Amino acid sequence: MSGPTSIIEVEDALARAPKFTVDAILDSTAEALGNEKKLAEGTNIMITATITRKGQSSGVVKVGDFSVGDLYAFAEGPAVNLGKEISRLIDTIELKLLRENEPIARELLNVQFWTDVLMLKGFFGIGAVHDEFVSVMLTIAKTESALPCDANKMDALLKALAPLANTFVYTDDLIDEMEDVLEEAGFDLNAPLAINGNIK
Amino acid sequence: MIDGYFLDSTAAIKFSFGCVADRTVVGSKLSKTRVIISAYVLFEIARGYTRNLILLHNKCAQLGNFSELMKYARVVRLKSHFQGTILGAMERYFEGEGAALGLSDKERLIHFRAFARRLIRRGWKTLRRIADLQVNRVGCREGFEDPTVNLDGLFVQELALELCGIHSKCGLKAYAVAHRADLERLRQKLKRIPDPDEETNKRIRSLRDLYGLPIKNFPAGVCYSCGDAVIAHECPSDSTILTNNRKHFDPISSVFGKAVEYFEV
Repeated sequence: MSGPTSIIEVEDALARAPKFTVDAILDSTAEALGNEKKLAEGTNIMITATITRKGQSSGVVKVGDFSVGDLYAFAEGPAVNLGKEISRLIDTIELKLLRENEPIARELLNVQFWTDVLMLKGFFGIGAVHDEFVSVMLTIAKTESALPCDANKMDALLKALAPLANTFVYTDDLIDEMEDVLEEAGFDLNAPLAINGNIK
Repeated sequence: MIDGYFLDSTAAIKFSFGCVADRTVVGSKLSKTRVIISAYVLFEIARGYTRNLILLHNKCAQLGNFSELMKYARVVRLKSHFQGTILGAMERYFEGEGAALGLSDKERLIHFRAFARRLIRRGWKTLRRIADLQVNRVGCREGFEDPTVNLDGLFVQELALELCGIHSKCGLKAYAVAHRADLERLRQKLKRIPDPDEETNKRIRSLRDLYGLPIKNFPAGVCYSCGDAVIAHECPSDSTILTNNRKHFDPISSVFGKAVEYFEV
């Protein structure tokens, strides 16, 4: 299959591009825009692509017009997906783990649960506070996956995660509340320091 | 009878920044009595511990992966105990138990940065709340701010270290001069220790800079070298010093007649 041979064809291809292609372009633009902290409301952004073909002059094609709000919304995509993932984890705890009385079945669910938690590493990079959340979850996943399922701890985890499922705006206060609940329940958020971690 | 534990830096750090096992050991003692900390210990932790942690956290923003951070830490020669505890522990974690996390070198950096971020925020907050009573007989500079995050996502904590050792700005000189006899006795005792370690040798040299001429400034490093001596001396006479640094506190506390309790972690 040959590629487009004219600017018009490129524009046409972009207009018909699969959604993820357009999303990727928009996400990159939104990420670049993230550093512009004060764009006035109503600002419109035209996204263009510069096409340079071997031995020929460059041509510019229009990808589309978007509002600042559109781009921020696109940028929030991963945070929204993280919220959905947290909701899924909550459901697993609430509807499966805490309701399962048969020990082996519960352990099997526990193995799957902490394996799913490890997948949260895919959400690294959203922002500093989100990273802190993911880091905490990975830390406890590592420790807890070596232990049998502890219903009290899972109950605490449920309480800790609940406020995070319905928002993608993470603040230090919000994450502190979560960490307080986890520490209170006995999760070791500083577990890596327990490895030969003497101070003096 | 103990009328309160007076925390040295090791006890305060273990309780505020340590893992659950460390916090349990120290916490089990602190729950029994009142807890006292000095402005001097808080400043020492800010200068010698949190500042290193802040540097590592902020450096992560400029680097692409965790192994680069390890190389950097070796080049800048962070305090050996610090490198061993925080970075070393994290490296061992990633290579050992944490290998199961399946993190790439880049993800390890983000994980570490986020880990450091929480440690700075929550560790410092715990440290500020740890004591029932804060004393400052030494006259160490107080009122420095908690670590905060700037618009670039970097931690800042202004300590005005350039004022350390300036006799008109820092109370340590006046304190040392006022207690010259005690510090002289300590210096003589330390000189009699056979085969002293490097830290003790530094302390022997630095003590004289402290209690020497009243209006003479001293290098800021003198304060660091004399830390354990200052902490032991400042401990109220009816309190007990809580530390895990037996090697250095044993000779110092015996000179000053202070009670010490050691915890093991």
